[in-house]
Amino acid sequence: MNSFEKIQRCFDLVPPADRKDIPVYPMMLLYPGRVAGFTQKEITSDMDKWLQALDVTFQKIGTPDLCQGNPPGDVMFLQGIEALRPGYELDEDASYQFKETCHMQPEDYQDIIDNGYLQWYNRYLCTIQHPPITNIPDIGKLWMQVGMNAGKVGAFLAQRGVSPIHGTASGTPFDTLSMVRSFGEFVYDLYDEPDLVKAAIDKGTPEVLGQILGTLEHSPLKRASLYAMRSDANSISPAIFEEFSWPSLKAIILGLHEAGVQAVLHADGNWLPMLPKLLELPKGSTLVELDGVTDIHAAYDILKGWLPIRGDVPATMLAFGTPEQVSAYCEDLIQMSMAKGGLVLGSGCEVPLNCKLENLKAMMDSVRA
Amino acid sequence: MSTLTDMGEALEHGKRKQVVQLVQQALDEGLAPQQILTEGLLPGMDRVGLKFRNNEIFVPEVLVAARAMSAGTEVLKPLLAEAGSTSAGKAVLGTVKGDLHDIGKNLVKMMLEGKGIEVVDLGVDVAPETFVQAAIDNDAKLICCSALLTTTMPVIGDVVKAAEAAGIRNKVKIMVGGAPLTQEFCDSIGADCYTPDAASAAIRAVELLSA
Repeated sequence: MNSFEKIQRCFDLVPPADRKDIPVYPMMLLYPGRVAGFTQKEITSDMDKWLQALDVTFQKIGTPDLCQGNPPGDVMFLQGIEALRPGYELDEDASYQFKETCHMQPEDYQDIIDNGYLQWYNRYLCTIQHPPITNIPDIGKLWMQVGMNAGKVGAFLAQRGVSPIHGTASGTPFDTLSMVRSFGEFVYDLYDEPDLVKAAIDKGTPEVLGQILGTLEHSPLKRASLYAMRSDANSISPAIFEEFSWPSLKAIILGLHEAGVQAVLHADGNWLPMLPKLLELPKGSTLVELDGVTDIHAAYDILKGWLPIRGDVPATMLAFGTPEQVSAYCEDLIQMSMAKGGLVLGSGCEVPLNCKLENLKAMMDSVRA
Repeated sequence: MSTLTDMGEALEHGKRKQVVQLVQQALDEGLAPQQILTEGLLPGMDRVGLKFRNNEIFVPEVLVAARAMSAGTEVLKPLLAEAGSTSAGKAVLGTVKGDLHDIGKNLVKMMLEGKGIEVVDLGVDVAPETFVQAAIDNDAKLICCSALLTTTMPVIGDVVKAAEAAGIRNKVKIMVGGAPLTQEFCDSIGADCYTPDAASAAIRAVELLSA
């Protein structure tokens, strides 16, 4: 069975006949640079070096079934937060980091409501580029480049039998507003100006959906990642989720589903209290990516037979644990999912830069040996 | 209900303007600023911390409660200073060098302040020596270090070593936190205390400062 078939069967919740049928996805955006001897500056600014680094890493750990669909520099762009870059604001071999500061004023909600979400978002994006873009239409060139790069990554991976995790990715309006406004200020807005925030989210929802579908029109891979890193229970309450985030998230996923697009919900943080709402989604519509903070066994119990999950070998274990510990952790996940299927064996979010190669190999081998 | 009880309840529900009004009302009634703090605001924040720890409320409720607490405390601050009131202890707090994450750190700061602890916030990307020097300069008995990346976790160990090198290790307690951290890691670097969330951090901080 090839990787593409494995992934489809996982979305379809078909129980694996063998552990080798379980797709494996170590989320390796930055780590391959360490394996191949490139600095973080090199792999975030030069896509070809990142692709070379992937090849070297695949040779050392085996070929995964899924891989990042965008190079590191484009992921920084797509996540839409001001990034501090290795070799510029940070040391040459440091991981890029997001610098969350308030880039949005309360009156911007009204601008979104009156004039549209994407016009506001693209203007904002211009301000956080290095250097800032002053001629706003020029942001379109960056979007175009990101799309072309994704095509190149897709072709590179396809030659190696690997599927990109997505054809495109986007933040959802709730989570994007939280990050652009900055977490604390956004939370205050939820209490001080709830109707304004809700109206801005409502305005953004169909626009974001339209943008995703438009981007995927020319992509052979009908799958989109949704960054919802502020909709978890470490950030908001289930009540706020239900009132502000979920209606928009659900509408986007339903819209994708109707258009034949699979969703990948990047669900960092503790999603356990929110997961029952996901049962309102169509069966097999969404891969839920968990990062190790959500209790994956409890999550699986809620979602099994309905939505697939990815997870969740902890970054701390990959960095400081042993291959035996990683193997035991993976075995537990494999046993959990053999009867009902729906598991993509993955790292809990990103494979950390200080991951031990033998630990990552142990993770890969757990479904290959 | 008394003004102080009302104040605590308003704080619990994040009603900032009401808290400020009630603090002023309590002052007008002749209550001492210290009494307003310890019998009105701090008990309200205590209940917020307890509910948070029990997963009855979530971060946003804590944030708006802390905002209300801060607004009430602002009114009291000059009066408390005049009266020579002392805090429940002093802590220095920061995210370690190489790490720019600050949401969790800021939450811990709010929860510590909610316990009446004076916090010197060093921000993010803080060098081990800076933690130690700040503890010396401020006579702080508690150093709180946060890391959100596995690559910056070892820097917390460097803070412990820097405290030893400066000869203050037996005078300060070192508390650690952040998503990738574990009790095992805390033990391995010789820190004093690991807590998995901000509410637990505040409770343990009070214990450590009063030990």
